[in-house]
Amino acid sequence: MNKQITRLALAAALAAAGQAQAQGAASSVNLFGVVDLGVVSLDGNGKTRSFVSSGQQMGSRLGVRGTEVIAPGWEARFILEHQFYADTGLQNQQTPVSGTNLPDWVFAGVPLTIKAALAPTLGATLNASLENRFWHRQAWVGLVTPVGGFLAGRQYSPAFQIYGRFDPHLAGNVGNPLVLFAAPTGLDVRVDNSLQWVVEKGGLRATAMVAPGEGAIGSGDFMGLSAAYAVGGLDVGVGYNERENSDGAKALRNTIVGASYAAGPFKVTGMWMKVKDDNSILGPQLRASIGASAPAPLRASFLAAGAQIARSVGWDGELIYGGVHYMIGARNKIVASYAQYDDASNARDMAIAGLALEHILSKRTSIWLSGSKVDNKSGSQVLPFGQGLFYGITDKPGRDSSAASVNIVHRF
Amino acid sequence: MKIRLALGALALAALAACGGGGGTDPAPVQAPPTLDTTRLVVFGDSLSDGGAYALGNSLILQTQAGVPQAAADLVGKFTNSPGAIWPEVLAGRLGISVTPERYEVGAASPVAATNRVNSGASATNYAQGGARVAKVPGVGCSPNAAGACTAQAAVPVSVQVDRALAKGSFSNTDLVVVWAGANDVFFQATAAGEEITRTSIQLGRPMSSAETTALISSKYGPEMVQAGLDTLAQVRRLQAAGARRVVVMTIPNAALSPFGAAGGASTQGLLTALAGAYNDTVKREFGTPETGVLLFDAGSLAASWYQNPAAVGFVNVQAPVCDVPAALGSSSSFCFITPAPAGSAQNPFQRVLPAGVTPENSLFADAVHPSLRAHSLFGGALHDTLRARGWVR
Repeated sequence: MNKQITRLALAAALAAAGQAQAQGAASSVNLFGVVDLGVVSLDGNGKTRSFVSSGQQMGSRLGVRGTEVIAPGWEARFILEHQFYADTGLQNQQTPVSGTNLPDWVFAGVPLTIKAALAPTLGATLNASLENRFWHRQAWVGLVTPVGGFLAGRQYSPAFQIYGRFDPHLAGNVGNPLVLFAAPTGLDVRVDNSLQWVVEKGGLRATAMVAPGEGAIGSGDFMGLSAAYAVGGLDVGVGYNERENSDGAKALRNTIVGASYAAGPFKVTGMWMKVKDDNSILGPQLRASIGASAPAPLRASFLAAGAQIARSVGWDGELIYGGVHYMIGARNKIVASYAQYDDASNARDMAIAGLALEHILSKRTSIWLSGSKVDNKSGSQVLPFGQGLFYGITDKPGRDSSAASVNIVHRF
Repeated sequence: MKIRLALGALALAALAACGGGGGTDPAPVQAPPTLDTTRLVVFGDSLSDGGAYALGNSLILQTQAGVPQAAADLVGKFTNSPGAIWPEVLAGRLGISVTPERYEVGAASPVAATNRVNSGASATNYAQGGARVAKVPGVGCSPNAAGACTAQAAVPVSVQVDRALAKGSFSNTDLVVVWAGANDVFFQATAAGEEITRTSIQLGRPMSSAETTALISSKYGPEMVQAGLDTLAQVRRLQAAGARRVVVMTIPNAALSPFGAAGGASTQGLLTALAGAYNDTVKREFGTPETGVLLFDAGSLAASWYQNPAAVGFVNVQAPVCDVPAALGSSSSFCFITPAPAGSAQNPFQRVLPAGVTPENSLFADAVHPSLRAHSLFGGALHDTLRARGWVR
């Protein structure tokens, strides 16, 4: 059972090293992937919507992974991993049920006149952010040396590696609070242009990552660190991400601590994560966009509104998230989870409960039944999501939402 | 899913097109905490000015026009004085009174020595003739080289609100009215007219109507949208300071006045576009019913009187009641009416009106300002609306 979980964790959150030994050969290139398809029923945006959908549990993907042993203790490795939506075969997800609407709290304090002008732009921006690159999930190459691996490319951030490691739902499932951090971004999952050092020794795994902003308007330099240690049934980890915006001000920062303990048929796992962003990358982007297009008499008002929106989409909160796995025999696993997010802005507060059953048909194939319930407090508009699939937002602030899904997950 | 801006042009066409765009239901509107009113607090311009320039104008009339003090002391409001303008009419209906918060001509005016704060308990009318919403110079300020007003102080509503907030917060029994924007129209209309003239000279031909329309919609219209947003900002400040009943008004279209009529079609078009930009903005921002704010469409009411005067007993919407000399700015703020024959030495500023036309059935006191009769109707209409909405007794 633990092996099963570890395997999933590797797929979901990517432990970079550790698989080469299993592959045995001096050099290898493997095709791998997941096809995850099911039916989801979603409540919270006007009416119950049911649709065939890809990725409620793990996210469909197709990847190529390679290893080359260069000398004792020296290896070259790469992963190229494509994300796709198995229901349509498309590289990009379906349109969110809420279209390009953004939560009301995004525009708190913004005059309707300006909101009317900015909302379409921000909505289009949201839409554009849902468009995936071909190698959306990962694209990196690196050298493993006696002093650790040095990897470069598009990689999972250190804090997200800890999130995935201690996530009861392995970064997927409609019961996952990860959706809260989807739009606007509250946790950098993947980092472009990143250089990472990874060391694995005994039960220890540590990473350090840097990624320069490369001059784009919005995102600036990124750095992150993580460390995790597993011994017996116990596993603990910490992670930290920090991103600057292109003004050089500290933007999104995540501090995460996770732990899990497995004993017999049980596993308990959970995390605490601090999310802080006082200088959203959206600030410089809005400023640049408005500065170029607003009519002169209104420019100051538009810029003030842009700054207000940038403040609103910042973060200042804490996530507490935990769950239990329980094996019933060798073929059925129950996952129960609960997460609560408290922000300095009450309009962002929410909680989500999830319950899932994995029926293991074979080593590679499972059937999942999942359900979740989101308690959106005063102003939150969170809808459940699927892996790599943003379903949208609720139709009203504070409207609770829920989802149920049945899906088949086949790994290869 | 990082929100990343597609750095396209902002959809500013939406400014003209639509309202909210939120797609969510508005919050339920709650009744005000009380219907009792102990203070009427007014921020605005000459349409609401209770006599901010009364002391200065009286002195000017006495010293420059030889008007006896008893008569000169009648002036100061922008109407055919003496009489009650709408804040006083409304206050009377509410059983209270309201007087100017201070007497204040421009700091560089020759009669600035008359300036003083009114210490009375009912001194809650902050409105000043010529005031814009948030910008200076106000209309009629006539700034000197240092920027100090040599005539009307015309302190903008934003500063009027500063003054009120400096005196403390608001209470549930305060009824607050914000009515400004008309002078932003006059200011922008003047600037637009000057630019059109300048450009026409440069072009060596008159600007085409398409060119002037483009100029207005890209430059002077947005100025009025900004004035509307400035009004929104002032209302939010007042609410933050505890105001629980704030009335916001649209502005009358000055095209529908003797001033507009004298300007001809192009001036009327300009005035209509500018007032429309302001009113559309205010309607957009306050059009959704919300707790604590009431939008009163004064612009539509004034237009209905101008276009259908007989319905409310007016027979004259063109000839102003007052005929103040140009040396005094032709402004009704110098106008007083006495029982003596119109135009006589004892009643110098009353226009000689045609038979059957009286101040009581005339809409305008001067080229743009309402007569006392119009003020009376207006104050009554506002009170009726407030009462119908459950805002006052």
